[in-house]
Amino acid sequence: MRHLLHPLTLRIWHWINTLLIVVLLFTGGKLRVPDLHLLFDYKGAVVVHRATGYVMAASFLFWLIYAIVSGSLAKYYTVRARDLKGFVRQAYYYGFGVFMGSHNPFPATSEEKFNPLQKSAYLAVQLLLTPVIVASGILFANILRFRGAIAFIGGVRLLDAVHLVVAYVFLVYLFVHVYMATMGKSPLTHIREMFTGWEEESDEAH
Amino acid sequence: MNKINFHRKAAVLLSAALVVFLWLDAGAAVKTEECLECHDTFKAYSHRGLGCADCHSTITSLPHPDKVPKPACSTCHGKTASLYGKSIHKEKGLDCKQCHDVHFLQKEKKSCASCHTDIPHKSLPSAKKHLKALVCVGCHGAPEKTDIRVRLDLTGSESMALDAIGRDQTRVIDKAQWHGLEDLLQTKMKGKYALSTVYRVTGDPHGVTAKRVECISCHGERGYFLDAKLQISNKEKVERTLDRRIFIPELPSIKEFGNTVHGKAGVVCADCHLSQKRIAEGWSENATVCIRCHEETAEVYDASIHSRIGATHCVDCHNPHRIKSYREREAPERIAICTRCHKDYLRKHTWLPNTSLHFSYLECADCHSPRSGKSMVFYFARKTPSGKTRLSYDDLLGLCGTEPSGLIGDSPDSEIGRILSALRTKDKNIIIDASIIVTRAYHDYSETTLRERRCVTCHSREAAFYDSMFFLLPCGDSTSYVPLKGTLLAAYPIRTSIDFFLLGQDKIRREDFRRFLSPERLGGLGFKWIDFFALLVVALIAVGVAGHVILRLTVKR
Repeated sequence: MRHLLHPLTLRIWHWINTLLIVVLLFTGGKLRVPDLHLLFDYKGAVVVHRATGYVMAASFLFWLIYAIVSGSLAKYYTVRARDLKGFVRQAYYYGFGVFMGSHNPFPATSEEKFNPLQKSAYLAVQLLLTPVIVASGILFANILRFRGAIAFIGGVRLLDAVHLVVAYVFLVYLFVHVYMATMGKSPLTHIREMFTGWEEESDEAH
Repeated sequence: MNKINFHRKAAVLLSAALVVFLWLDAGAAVKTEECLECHDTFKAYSHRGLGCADCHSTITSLPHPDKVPKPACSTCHGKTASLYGKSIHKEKGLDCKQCHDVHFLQKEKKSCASCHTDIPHKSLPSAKKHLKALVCVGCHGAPEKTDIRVRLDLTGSESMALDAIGRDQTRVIDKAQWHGLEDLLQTKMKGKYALSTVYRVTGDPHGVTAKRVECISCHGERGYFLDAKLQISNKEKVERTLDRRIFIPELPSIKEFGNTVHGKAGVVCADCHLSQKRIAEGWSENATVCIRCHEETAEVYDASIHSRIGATHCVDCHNPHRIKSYREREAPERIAICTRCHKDYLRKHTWLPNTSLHFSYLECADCHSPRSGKSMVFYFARKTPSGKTRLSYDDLLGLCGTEPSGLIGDSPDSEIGRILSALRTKDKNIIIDASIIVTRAYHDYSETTLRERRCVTCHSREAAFYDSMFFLLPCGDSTSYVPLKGTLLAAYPIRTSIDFFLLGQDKIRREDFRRFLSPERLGGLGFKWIDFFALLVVALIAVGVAGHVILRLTVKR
């Protein structure tokens, strides 16, 4: 039986979020390394990065409300005690099992969509990294207004460091996430799933 | 009783007068006719009906000695002589006879121009106008009485003219009414009127001094020509009071000029105003005037693009009458000079993150005049709900009770923190604020396209202005720049000093990559370590993924 893994709302949010992250990484790259020759100049990068950042904040807020209201936050993202054991199994599978023809220990179902590795990764991304980078970005965009808060955190430079570290984690995450998306039955299985929403015949998830 | 006393007194006085008269008559033994028998060239002499012996009083009998003392004019003209004694003419050794032929007063009347021919009055602004309107003594003496009399002779009805200036006789005719009248005369009463303005000066020409009167003597609020009247003559005469400023414009800045940089340096009106033509009217004229003192500045500015296509004249940016030293100006005041023309500056700087925040700490020349010397300046300020305001001299005086300039001694860096703490016990809203301003101006503002919009130009410890820091202390109407070594900043908690150093977002430059590749130059990377560490992680992941891909392909998974 085919399961609906990804409801339409989430799929739309996912791809919008993807676009936002890519734009933010590119413009952020230009801001950090002005010598990079990208599609836009520094001035454009500032404007686009700031505007996209606010859209990202809205996008995060939307996801948070959706995840809480729909119950998916409690259902899919809660890390349970047994997940800790599954964490090792899943890692072992990706590291070795996958080459030896083993089956995915946690195939995605509409009941248990994420494996323990995904759970922890998504939880960290959605409830730690995104809020931190969004909040630090908003502080940056309004240094004057939030001067007190910035001073409390430790100054602009420290705020920048935090924003930057999270940005790099996002970059690394993007690499791994995209690569893991190719780990379905065929390299494009999971990617198609993310468009159609329906689980294809598979025994793994990324 | 009183009547008898009066008659007695009168009799005594008359007897005394008779005795004096008889004595005088006995002394004036030589009669004028007797003198003229020998001195016949003086037969036509005239000195207000006086006889020879009235002046040559030492000659009491004839024949008189060959040499007789010259009569002193001061015997009769005591007041004039005393005035003359202080004059420039006396100082130059001239006496009465140089101007007055004492025996023939009616014969020759000398005027100033008899000796002072063709004086160009080069230093007098609007010389022609002034010389036409005024007599010499108006400026070179001590005028006793001055007024302006405007005479309007009308051949037609005066009712129209009276309508123009208003019929209320007690009201002073102001500029607007006067211009209305002038317009009426020129358009509707052409050929039917005669208008003349006389600047009347009465004064004793004997008191001419070397020092001329200053412009402010007439062009100020007080001084000469305060009384101005219009006399309209037609069938009957009407006299009205005029606002004197119609004829003698009050210099707008004259009151403040003394407090300006120019005023304090002793610059007087005529040093710049060689003519009444506005100095701004031509660059060459403008330059000739300002260049006399500001040669170097003019040279730099003249070569800049700004001077050719933008503000062509010095006065386009600087009001020489209100000029305040740039060291006295706060950053927003400096910006205001540029934004008189560059009104769209905020829109043009949208590329700059936190545009308005930047503009509250910087001035335009910080970026647009790369060769100007910049400094970071600190000052005491007060936090208010609407922002921050720099503490003035009076504020500090009120808070400290002592002269602010005496607050800081030999080691300002360590003392300022202590002073701040003391001030904060009285007002907890006192803070130390800072801005980055030009402290050595270089008048080339041609840098219009800063292609290299590098945040680290300022947001790094290497920024030039950290080498030049001052604490600004108001001292009366000026500001004292107390040099700082920078330890002031070190005394603050790290998060504050980070903000002070503006160490915000580091940027990775090409040289950083080179530095990263040569281990001996790794020091000073700061938070840039994050980038290189992250790139390393990305590279490792890339290698890991590649390995994973290869393995997957190898085992056909």
